[in-house]
Amino acid sequence: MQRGKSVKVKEVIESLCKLLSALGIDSVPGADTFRRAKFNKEDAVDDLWTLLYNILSKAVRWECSCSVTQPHDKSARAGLVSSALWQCGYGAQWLQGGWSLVEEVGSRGLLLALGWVMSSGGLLESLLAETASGLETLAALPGVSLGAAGGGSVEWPRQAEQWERGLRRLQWEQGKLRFLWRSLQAAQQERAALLHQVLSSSSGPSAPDPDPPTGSTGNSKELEQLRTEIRLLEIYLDWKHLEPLFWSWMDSVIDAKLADPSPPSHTDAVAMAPKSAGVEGGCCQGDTERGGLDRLSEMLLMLQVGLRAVRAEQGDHAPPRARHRDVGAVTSSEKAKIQEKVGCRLHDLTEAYASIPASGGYRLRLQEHPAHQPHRPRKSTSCQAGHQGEAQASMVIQELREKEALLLRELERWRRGHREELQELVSGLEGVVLIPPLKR
Amino acid sequence: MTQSIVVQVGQCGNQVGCRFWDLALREHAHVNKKGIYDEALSSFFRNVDTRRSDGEGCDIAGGKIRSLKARAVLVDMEEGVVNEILQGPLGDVFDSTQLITDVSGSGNNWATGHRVYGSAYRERIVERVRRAAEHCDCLQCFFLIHSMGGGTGSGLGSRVLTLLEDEFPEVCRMVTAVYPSAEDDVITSPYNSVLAMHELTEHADCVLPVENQSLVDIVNKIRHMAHSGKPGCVIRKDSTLISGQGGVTGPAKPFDAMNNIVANLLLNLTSSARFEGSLNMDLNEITMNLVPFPRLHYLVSSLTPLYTLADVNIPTRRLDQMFTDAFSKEHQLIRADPKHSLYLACALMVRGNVQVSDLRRNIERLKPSLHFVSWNQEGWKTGLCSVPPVGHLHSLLALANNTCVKPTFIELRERFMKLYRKKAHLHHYLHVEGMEQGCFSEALSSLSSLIEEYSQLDATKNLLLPDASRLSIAT
Amino acid sequence: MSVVTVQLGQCGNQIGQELFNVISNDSNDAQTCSPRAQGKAYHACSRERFFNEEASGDPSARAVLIDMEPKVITQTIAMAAKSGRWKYREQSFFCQKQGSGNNWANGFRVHGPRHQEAMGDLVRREVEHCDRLAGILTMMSVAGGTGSGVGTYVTQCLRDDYPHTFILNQLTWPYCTGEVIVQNYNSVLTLSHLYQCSDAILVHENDAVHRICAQLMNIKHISFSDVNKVIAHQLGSVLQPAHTAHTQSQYSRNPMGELMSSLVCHPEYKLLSLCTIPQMASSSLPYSAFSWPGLLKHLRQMLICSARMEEGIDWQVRAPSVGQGAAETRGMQELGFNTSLANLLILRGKDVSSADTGGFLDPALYCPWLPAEGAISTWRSSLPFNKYEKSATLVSNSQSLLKPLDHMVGKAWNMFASRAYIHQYTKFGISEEDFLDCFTCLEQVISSYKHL
Repeated sequence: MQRGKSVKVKEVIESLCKLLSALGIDSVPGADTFRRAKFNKEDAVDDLWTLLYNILSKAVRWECSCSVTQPHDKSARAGLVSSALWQCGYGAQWLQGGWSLVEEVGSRGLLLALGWVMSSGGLLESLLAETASGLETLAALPGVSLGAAGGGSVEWPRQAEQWERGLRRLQWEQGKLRFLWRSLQAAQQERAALLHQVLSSSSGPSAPDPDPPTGSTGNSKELEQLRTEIRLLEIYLDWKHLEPLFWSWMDSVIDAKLADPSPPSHTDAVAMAPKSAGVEGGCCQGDTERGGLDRLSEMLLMLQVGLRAVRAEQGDHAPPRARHRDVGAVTSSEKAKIQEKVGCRLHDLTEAYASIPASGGYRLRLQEHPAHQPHRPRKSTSCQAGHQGEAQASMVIQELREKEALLLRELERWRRGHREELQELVSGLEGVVLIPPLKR
Repeated sequence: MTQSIVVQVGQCGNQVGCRFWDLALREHAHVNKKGIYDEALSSFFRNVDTRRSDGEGCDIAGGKIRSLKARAVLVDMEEGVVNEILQGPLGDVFDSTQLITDVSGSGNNWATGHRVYGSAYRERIVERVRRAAEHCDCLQCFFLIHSMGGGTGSGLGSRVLTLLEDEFPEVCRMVTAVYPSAEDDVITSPYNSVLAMHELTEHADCVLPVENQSLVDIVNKIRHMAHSGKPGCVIRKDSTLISGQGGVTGPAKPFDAMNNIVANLLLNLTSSARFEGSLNMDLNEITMNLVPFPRLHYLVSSLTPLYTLADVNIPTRRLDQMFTDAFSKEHQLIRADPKHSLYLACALMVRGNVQVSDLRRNIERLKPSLHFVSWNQEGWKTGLCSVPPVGHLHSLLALANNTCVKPTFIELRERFMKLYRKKAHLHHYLHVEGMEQGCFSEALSSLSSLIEEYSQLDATKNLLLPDASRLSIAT
Repeated sequence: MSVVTVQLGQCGNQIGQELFNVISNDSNDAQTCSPRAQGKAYHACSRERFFNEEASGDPSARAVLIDMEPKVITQTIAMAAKSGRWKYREQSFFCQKQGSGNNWANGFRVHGPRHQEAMGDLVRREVEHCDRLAGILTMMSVAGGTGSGVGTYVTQCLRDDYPHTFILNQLTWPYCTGEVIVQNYNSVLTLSHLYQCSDAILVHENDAVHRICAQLMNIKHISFSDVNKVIAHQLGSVLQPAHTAHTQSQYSRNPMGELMSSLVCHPEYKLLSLCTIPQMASSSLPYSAFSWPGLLKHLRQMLICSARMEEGIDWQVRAPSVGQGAAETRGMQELGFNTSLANLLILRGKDVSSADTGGFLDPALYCPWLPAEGAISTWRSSLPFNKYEKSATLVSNSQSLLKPLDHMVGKAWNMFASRAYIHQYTKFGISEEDFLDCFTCLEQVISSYKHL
């Protein structure tokens, strides 16, 4: 940040553009567009809408008919982008304020949205993984979409069928991966054996011809693929080096926004209280973050107060209703017991999930030198603790293992419970034998 | 390759055995022209260097045939029949270490054979059998041949069976039991038969019952055909089921024709285990496939063809006739009609140039006319052995586990009851030490329960039983 | 890249010998094909796959022969030697003196464990001769005792010894009537155990092959050798070198892996059936001409109505239209429609690149949860196979084995309900509970396929 910021910015943004293009994003605008957007220039609006649309359409699977929409139908595009932003938790005011605000949003607002998208959920990394390994098949898994699950408009049996199919598909793909793995392993073994043969037969240190005589065309294709992949990774690495600078530049965008006298803009930044902002640590200034956190805790407090009020109200009404409905209603001691139990379970669950952020989980980072992240406001000097959501791989692994064990225990408990329940049910039925699921 | 040992007990057992060895030699001589001691030969014969002076010689593996010795133990409580065999042309295939004889006979008394001689000769019998077993590379099966009516055959024979079970529990025990005719001249034969059957039901892996009367009928039928002398219908001498021509023995004796049938039964039964084929049928597969319940192991057998006409180039029709005949009443070795009773299982052992398609065609053709038990509608076991019997292009041995054995058993029980109600001749048995009346009632109830088991199955014959309801998978 | 074959029991040994015959003859024929280089590559690839080059004399099959009695093995080895083109390696066989007597329990509980080490050593020796092991092919029948019982045991041991190797079981299902009476028991025991340890189970039904012999090959007196030849031909057409989707320019180096990852990825569905077109008497081959569209049209209908041969296919059976509900699909299935999970199409012969396989891409042919483009794979080779100018083979993971399997389990269950023959199995330590477990496993398989 200190050295040659102005010189670097262009380079930084260019590297981002290069990476985005390499990741298969269409029509990435030039670095200049970003600069202009920082100053909320009108002429950058279109380019940024396109970019956002292209990125989001890569990252989010649109539901059914939406994908057919022509990308150059501006209002439809804007609608899709804004709903996608909304769904992944972006809370800027122009998204809350209805359609007119969306149409009026300036290029800076869009640039900030882009920053948010990039910082949440490891977008670039997931795009990278997808591009690099070419596992499109997995991404195309038919899952139950968020909309369908939350909407409640789909009736249950259909949904169950969907689940069942999705599950089978998943099992199939898993099997396929297993077979692939075995094939690769066999190929590896063969290669090792051949290499050993070559090395042991060739007396000199001269390296053997990397291309075996047979099937050179197949190999060259493979080689080409490898080269592409390496190029992609190099671009990504470049970007990673420059990323801190990008974020500090984004800080300056927000600063510019805050400095801007236009009335809605100052709340706009505060509205950035994305779910993952705290844990991801991906974006930006302490102020915004703290503001968001404050807001969240405020909301939490309000909710708790409201809840208490409702409970108190229910408490008043409860006894007569209970008497009304059921003679053998729960006694207060039983109720206390249940509450205790529920509390316990809740506690357990909270503990189990506490450190897993709602979206994305851990984000592994390349080991960065502290000097490279001066813009991080929450940087600890020792760098030992790292940022929230950022951790040493070994720590993460260990933690994940513990969590896995906990979840497995939980799963096993549930499974046993269910099995017993099922067995009990089945034992009541004449002529039915409970069959355990097929071993794999 | 596995080996089998024949244990022949009593007069009848030894006479049948004698014919078996004669025909077995004839068959192997026919197939094995080079005189090489091969695997097929080894299943019933040892190849011995007799120049060695230790009495029984030592085995030679492979190579030229030196001197063949039957894998047999001959047991009789009188000397006549065995001595006759030893002095005859077959004498060379046995030696003194394979024989157990006495002079006084069992007097048609099962108790004498079973209890008295059984205890007295127990050690010697076990020792002889053990020695024969030691000569085997891989002993698979004992073939026990004895009659049911006489004293030695039924009494000592069934005692040998339990000895074999005690000493060689792993080795399969197949009993060829010759049942007496109703007009049998031994008055106590019903007692002997029922007492012996108790042992057979409990201790044998499977029993091939043969009735004297059926053998007589078949012999008469063949003789009739041979003498009817229709032009163009000349029966080849060496091809009849009753012929011993080509064997080493001289002029035929009275019972030889009948005994040849039983000998052929054993030859065909073991052919697939001895010779190659496109669908082998080993001896241990017989009980595995044909005995669904341990006690119901009485297999009705039939042999076809009974003879071959001299000059016929076998058309398919004749081949199909062979299959049809195998299920007719006239070709069964006991007087029974399997076609009108219930099949639990059926094996077809085919020899000669017959293909799997012939087999399939005939099974499909015959199936509608046969009743199979509901849970074994497709209860067919088949074997294809490429080596035909001497004088034939092909042959068929059908083994049926069929409820048609029941009338024979019922008739036997009636004859038994006739004597037993009056306690006739009972004292001859009760004299013998360890023999009580309880033995009779036990044997009787064993027979009755056997008959009852067959009856219960028979009762399902014309019922259309629904399939057992399957396990259902909750989805 | 090589395949090690394990031949078990009478059936497995006889079919194995025929298979090596077909492969040897076919790859020798290929050498004389034009263009020369292509034929040579094919020959070399096939040779590496199935044979060891011997310093002296004929190549030897990469095979292990196992039987519990010596007759068949002696005969098989002699037949191979007589061919003059290939042989079995000396000491590559294992046999005992006494068979398993049609008793699965005897093979699985007695013979298998007793000779585990000797049999394992033979396989290991063969595996060590391979530069790279593409997979293990075991061949056996399910009816008898040795093939099924010892075969199952050996497969389990192979799975333990080679946990990451592809194991394909080629099973011959017996005639519905008249081979072995306890065949349904033996089949149930074999299949349920193999389902746990094998990667894929490739099934030939004797009844279906017998009909092919009778109606397509015009054989009057069908012998087991004829039946085995047809099975070997079909197997050969799958196993011989071909170009797969991943290896356009050279022959696949991973045939077993590619076969499996295109067909049996889901652990509940492992049963594969085979059909080949055309098949005819070799005498009429020179007078017949085929076109790719005709062959593929017939083959597609064979798949739809689950027929094993082109003669007498039911053209009335149709695939349901796409997007219909489960109820309609069930209705079509009752009318004879055969839903596929996945198919592998292998085309061999002249102008193979011109063959249009679009008909197999129809989503209506497949179960709803796997998109058609993921469910069909195609392999091609421009060389004629086994003297057929053009031929197409379809390896199918579909409902086509559901009916015979259901029949088999039903028969066995009926027998089990009256406890017939059970004492023969308990004698060797297979209890009624073991039977019940096996039945439940197979009922599960049946249910899975039924609801495809």
